[in-house]
Amino acid sequence: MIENLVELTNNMDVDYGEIRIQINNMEGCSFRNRTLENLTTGYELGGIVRIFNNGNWAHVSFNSLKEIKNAIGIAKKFTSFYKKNNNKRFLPVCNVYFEKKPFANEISINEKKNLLSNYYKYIIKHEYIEKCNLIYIKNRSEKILVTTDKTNIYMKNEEDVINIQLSKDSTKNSTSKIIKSCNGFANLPDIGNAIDNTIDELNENIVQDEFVKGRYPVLLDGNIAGVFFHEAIGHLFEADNIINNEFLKNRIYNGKKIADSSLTIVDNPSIIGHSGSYLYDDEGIKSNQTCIIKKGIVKQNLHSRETAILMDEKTTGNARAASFYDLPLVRMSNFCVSNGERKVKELINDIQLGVYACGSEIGKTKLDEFMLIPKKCYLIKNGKIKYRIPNKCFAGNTFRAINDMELSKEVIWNDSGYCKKSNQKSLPIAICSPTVKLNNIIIKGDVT
Amino acid sequence: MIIAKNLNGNVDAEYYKENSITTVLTLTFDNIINIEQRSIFGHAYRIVKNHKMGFSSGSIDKNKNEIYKNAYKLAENGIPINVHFPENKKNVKQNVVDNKIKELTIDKLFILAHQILNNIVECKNTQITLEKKMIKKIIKNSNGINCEKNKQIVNVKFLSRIESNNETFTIFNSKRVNDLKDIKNIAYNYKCIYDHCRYKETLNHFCNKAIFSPEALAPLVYLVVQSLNGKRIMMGNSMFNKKIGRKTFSNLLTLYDNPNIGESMPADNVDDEGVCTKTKPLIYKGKIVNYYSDLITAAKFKLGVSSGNGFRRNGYTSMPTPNVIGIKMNSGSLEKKCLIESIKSGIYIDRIAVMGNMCTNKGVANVNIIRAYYIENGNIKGLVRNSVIRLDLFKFFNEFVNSKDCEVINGSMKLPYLMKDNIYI
Repeated sequence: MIENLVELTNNMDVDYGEIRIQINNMEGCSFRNRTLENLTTGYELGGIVRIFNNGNWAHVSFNSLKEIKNAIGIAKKFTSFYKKNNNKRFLPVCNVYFEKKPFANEISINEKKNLLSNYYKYIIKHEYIEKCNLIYIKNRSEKILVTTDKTNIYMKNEEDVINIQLSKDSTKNSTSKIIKSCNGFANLPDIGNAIDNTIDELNENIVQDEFVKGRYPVLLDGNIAGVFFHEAIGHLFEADNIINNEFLKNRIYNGKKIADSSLTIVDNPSIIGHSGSYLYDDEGIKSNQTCIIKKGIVKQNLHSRETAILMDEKTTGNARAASFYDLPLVRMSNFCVSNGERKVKELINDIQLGVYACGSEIGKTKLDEFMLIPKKCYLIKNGKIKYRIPNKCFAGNTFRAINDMELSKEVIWNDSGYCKKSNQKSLPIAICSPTVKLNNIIIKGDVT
Repeated sequence: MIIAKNLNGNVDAEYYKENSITTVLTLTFDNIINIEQRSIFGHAYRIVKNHKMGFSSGSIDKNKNEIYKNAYKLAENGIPINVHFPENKKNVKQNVVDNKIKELTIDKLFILAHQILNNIVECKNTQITLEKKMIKKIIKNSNGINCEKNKQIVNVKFLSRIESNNETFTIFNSKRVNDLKDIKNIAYNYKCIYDHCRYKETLNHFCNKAIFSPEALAPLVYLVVQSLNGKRIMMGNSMFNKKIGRKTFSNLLTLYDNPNIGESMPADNVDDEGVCTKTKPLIYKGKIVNYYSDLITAAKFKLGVSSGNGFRRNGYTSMPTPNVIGIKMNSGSLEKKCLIESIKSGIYIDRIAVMGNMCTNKGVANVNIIRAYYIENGNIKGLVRNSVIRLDLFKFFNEFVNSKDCEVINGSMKLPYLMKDNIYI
């Protein structure tokens, strides 16, 4: 197939052209409402032709290999129909890579269903659990990118995900856990163990406690701290968010000190084996480590080829497309926050009255304002974790928060995250983060 | 036909095929931002064998026989369900295609976009996106159903950057049209929004009288309607658990599931399972009278027959789920103008976004006000932005005044203006 695509790009006769194809083989099996609810397989082949000609860009997607020639024709017509524009083309890049590693050998979807069915039976034996969902999704994807710059890439990716969702007491108490593997079903973390941990979490006693409301120190564990850094900081460094945004342009530029000097953040898709890992991005740029903040000082934005040329900066290999018909957008991948010097225990000891937040439910931002809802909260009193309290909502100003914080020595990787941007579907990401103590954070009322 | 070829006595089969082509053009007064054509073309089988179901899908390059075989294999140990696909020997062919929209090629879209921009020359820094979508769906089953649905719609989106009082902010609006002559009104409405947004106001009071425009009301009505999904009710995951048949809201609230709203582009005579759709009240004079279902929900929860609401929201790759494609809310007796004039100090809320998930059983939603205007002595004044309100939907729809005038929102919801006392911001 690749030879045919090379021939098609060779004959494009345009200033720049590319064909990107994605083939997905999917499996799904879900148990809900005490029964098997879904058992499916799916196959999807699609691609997009992107052409720059006559100073104009055009994009045409297709769902069948037979349609590629037609798509090229339409895209060329789109670019030549209008007056010549002064848009710039990408700087030339030539990368060649062909992935030879085969997909993992696997049992059939029916065998997986039987296996998962046994786990589900185990969950529903606990009669007090009202809602119990066990959802399995697998996707094997192959990506091909061929460009007129002679880039020629074939990559594979595999993802198995199990989502365990449980609740009791008429959904007042609910919890969920996602486990994931990038090397096939057999390499998923212990499913039984994950289920037991989720059930234990569901049974934790929650003490109703109303007095933690107002401004207090909050200790975010690695999971929710990672979401905080990703949402509140990471998105501000995506170049397509900065272009046309005066607010960000005035705050995010090379050399500007924006955080406590303990804060260093890198985005690194080239680390192997994590949810956000890839060798080449969807524009054929080799993945690399990009340091966005070093010791509290802004170093670099995250770029696609398009934003790099618009801002006259170098590309960083962060262009990712969620579906075959989407254009690549600037997205984060494996987002890593460096650790601090003190142990989590020591950070807890410093807090007279505050909250220890674990796991992440919701993380939202609006420019420099953030709002976080964790999965669960514990009361910290006189330097000790006392007991679990109802879930809270935290809010504050990002720049003030990252200038008054402390990071722990211990870090954790969270590979269960997904990130959504614009109208595109969610993409898998990974976050590595220490626990962080944020001071003077607004703690709002209970979140039910 | 493949269904007939593979049939034997114990097997029910359903074939679904979908082809959509979307052409997108985005431009400003002096530049082209994006030209794009997006195709999604695929098909799927659902097989029921010995009361077990299997589902398999593939893009159009995947052989139909292979998809059938995969679904058949999955059905052997598949989803336990006693479902029968509907029977009908009559072919159903539906065309919701306006000739003028049909003729819109990329060059005509370009001319149309410029015409619209010329109508709003005062709105500087405005970007327009025209999106023409053609959708064709085919549903066949082994019991004789043979449906074909064709639709063509146009979405118009505006995005402007306004600079006022040393502050830059963006305003956005989108509309779905089925008749190109509506575009003049859309451009005029956007010009009004743009004008109002140039002046910023601050609210003096925390408690206000408020008018919700049909556009602002739509997400709230949709939350109520979502809770009438039969599957959610049966699973106890709805704000209307144990409330079916009970009076829950004001007498003024009547909501219809209306798949054939006069001006509705998504209008469907049959759903994506080949079941005939019908107009039915969901809430009548404040009483919850109906919920909606698809074939699987009807079979699983023994509800009798499907209500004709099985639609594939995510296209051919997913099985149908209960969905509503047209909603109509009854109107009142006062004109919108009278409602506004009756307010001495309050707000006119024009666009909102529901934040996060609604607290399911309580019917409480956090709402971000994206665009609202201050009302003073019956006149609409400047823009009020970025406010958050927490709404209890039971209370919200328990006391209100609705207007005589209604508007169709996104071609799928026909709603009045709604006036409320005591909205706390």
